[in-house]
Amino acid sequence: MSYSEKVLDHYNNPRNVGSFDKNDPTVGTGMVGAPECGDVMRLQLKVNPETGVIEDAKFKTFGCGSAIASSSLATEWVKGRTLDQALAIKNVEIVNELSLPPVKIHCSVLAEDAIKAAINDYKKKRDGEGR
Amino acid sequence: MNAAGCWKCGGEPHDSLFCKFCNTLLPPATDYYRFLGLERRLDVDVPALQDHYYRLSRLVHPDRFQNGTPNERRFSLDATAILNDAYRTLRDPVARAEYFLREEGLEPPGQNTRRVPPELLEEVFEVNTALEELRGGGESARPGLEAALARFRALRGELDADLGALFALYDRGRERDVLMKIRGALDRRSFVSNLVEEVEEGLTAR
Amino acid sequence: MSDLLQIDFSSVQEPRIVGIDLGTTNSLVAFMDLTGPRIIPGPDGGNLVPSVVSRPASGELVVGNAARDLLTSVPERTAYSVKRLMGRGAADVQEELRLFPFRITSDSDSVIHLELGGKVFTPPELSAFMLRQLKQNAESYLGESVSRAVITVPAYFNDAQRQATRDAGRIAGLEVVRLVNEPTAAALAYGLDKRKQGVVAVYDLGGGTFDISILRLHDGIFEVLATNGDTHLGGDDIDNRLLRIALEDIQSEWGEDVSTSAEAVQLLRRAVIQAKESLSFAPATTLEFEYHGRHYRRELGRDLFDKLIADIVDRTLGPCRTCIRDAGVKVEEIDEVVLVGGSTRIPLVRNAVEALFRARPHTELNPDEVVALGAAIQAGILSGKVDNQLLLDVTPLSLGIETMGGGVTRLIQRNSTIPASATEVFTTAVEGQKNVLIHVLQGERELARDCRSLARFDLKDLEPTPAGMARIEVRFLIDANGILNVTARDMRTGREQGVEVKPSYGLTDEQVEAMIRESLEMAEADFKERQVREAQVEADRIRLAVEKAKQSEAYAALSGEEKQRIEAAAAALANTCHSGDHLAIRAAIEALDRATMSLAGKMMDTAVSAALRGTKI
Repeated sequence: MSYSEKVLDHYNNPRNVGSFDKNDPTVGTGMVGAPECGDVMRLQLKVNPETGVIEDAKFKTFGCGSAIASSSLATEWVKGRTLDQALAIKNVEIVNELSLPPVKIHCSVLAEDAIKAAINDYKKKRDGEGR
Repeated sequence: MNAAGCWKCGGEPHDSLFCKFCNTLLPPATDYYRFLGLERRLDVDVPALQDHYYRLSRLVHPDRFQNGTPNERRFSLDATAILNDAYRTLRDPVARAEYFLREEGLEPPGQNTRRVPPELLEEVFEVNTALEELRGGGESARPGLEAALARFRALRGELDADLGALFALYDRGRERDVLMKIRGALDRRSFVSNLVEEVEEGLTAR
Repeated sequence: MSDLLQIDFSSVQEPRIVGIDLGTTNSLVAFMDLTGPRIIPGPDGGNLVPSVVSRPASGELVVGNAARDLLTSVPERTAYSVKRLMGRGAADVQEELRLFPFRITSDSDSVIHLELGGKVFTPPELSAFMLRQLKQNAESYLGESVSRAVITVPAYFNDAQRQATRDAGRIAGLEVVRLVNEPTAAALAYGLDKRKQGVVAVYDLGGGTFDISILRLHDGIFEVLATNGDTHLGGDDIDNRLLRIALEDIQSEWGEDVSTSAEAVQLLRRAVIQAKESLSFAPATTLEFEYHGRHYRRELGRDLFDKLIADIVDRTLGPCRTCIRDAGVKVEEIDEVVLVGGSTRIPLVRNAVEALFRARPHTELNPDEVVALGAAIQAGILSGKVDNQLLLDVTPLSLGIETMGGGVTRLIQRNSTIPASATEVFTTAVEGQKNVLIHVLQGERELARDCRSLARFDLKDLEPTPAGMARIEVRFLIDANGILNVTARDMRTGREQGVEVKPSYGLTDEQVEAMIRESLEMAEADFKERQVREAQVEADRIRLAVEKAKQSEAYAALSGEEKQRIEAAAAALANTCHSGDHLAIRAAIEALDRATMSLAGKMMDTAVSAALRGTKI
């Protein structure tokens, strides 16, 4: 019984750590937090305004290994997807991919929420601009 | 509790730590309020609770039963464990409220993640970045963190006051939706409290 | 008159409980007399018994001062600082093992085995030799048998370290009535309850362990609010630091690495300890070391010494800060600070404590003795002699269980007042599952692999049920000793559920039993040997006396038959003397005694009349 290899891999070598300029109109920023363990997660997407495809993603998470691994995985998965495809990512997929234990399921929820929040932010910016 | 009556003298069952007939230590009740003989209220007089705790400790602690019968020694250990658990839980408003919610069949906040207000999140993120900087030796992050700590502490104080008001409100009317509000307040407080601790730790660690 | 002299027999019935400080460097035993706690001195008159056990070539076992003297002559057969190895696995202590001269045989991951002169011992067995010595000291001082003791342990000791200490007591033939945390014992000894209310910090830096505890005092109740520490931090670390530096220095000066010689290392260790100790009083000292005719000499000032050990002293401050925070008090609210442990004599340590707590620490009591005195008071509390005081201590580490995927669910938080308990309901994952394994851990980390594995509890012989239908309620109870007890109950049947314990670091009950048996056999062998030796001494004494008597007038006056009887008895004694049978020797002594009875009478008469005549025989 030990943390799954994948969690440890993402925890030790997190992908796409960093940030984009949040004022960039092609960037959507999602910021979420879990009250019970103080985890905070910022996930940012860079969207091609022409195609609506997510070209790049970055994250920064303060929290436990599972939260870091979940967000790291989320940034890998959203790249190359359209906004709608990214919205379809469910936390259970993250749970299964990382074999998260029950007590850490909320970390995957956080990652799913972060994707949604980032896309919302991007859409808000885009629609505001179009007006 | 003690449904079968006193194990030693056979005296009739009653709610007490010691048999009222032969003064023998009885198997303890596991409900904290019943164990301590307290009215089931969310608002607890903590200094009075502490006095009560010390008094009961003197009576039931295993140190007092070193030369007792095996039954008495076992009950003394059980009773003191429950006494300590009860005191630890009821003296702290948050632990008390969580215990209360659970006893009322409401899961205290935890797994079912609730959103944290975004305006707070932004700051939390900044604080975490500053903490990371400080851990890396960036002393310039310290003043900002100290200011943030003061803000979070004040916020926690406000939330505690809210919680206290909700406790009193519940004790008056025993309405279930007050319990739901308490649950919400606990959720928010837990986040802020974690933050305070994290910043405190970051500021004191070397 | 008779009223005044009434003896209270009520306290006579319960066997006395002594208080023992089983230290890294020194151990002490104390008891409660009518005036208060008192240290029991050893046969040499000293209060401190060095925690050293040696097996010199003869195969016998030597403890205390005599063993410490053997540190330099037979270092590979002499064990010290055993407390640092208690309840640990071989992997835990790799680092410091390099500095120990004795060999560790690592055939087991869970318990360390030390080899002393061809025989293998576990740390609890070696500690048991210490305890047996203290028990003997108490017995000969008090003139009664001693079988019950309160033993102190560092507050930050984990479950395995506590179990190991209790096992040591059992092996030594002591019922360990209670394990008491050292800083708490010290607080008791300081009589701080004279201050009716208040908050007190106890800073305890011993030979090998560091503890910090913060207590609230309330009319005789000593409530520990929080504790922290490091069970691998103490005077030994300072000694090792100085030792390493001196070894390097010597190598560059002599062009020779003396660290390969255990004897040289122990001699040098003694020298650096002396230098360290004198720097507590003097601003400068000289470190002197002589080996195979070569001399090494270094002036050492306190400033340099302070620099060399600054980081070790600093390591105590983090735990102090955490402890203050966990106690929920502000530094200004701490009324008093008490210093315990020999290493608190170091001025740098005192200054650091004073700076952190902003209070001048108490040092009135001897920091080496205060813990043993407190243990004696706790013994008094437990035997009912002291009834106005009560200790409410805490568990130093959180207790949790491993969850699927290697996480940890915390059941009992650190700094919970003990006894403390938690219950958890377990079920089965597959149909017909016969047992459930619960892995219990201690520590504050999030992953099981980062916490200290305590034990695996196996719920055995479950009733076969469909998956998830079983309901086993498991109760985790940390008792007043800080030791975990686990019981389980099948919630559907209400029946007690069997639990098998597999300790991760420590001895099983069976192993301890075997050691007790072996120690009893050994004690019996020791005892027999002693009886033989005593009989031999007695035989030599009487044979010498008889030889001398043969020169006397009285002997000359004896009949030939009588002389023959004496000769025969003396020869018989000389023959049995080396038989190794003390009963035969005693019988021969008696026979010779009988045969010389009338001779002795006549010699007495001659002596008396000679004395009357004013002349000497």
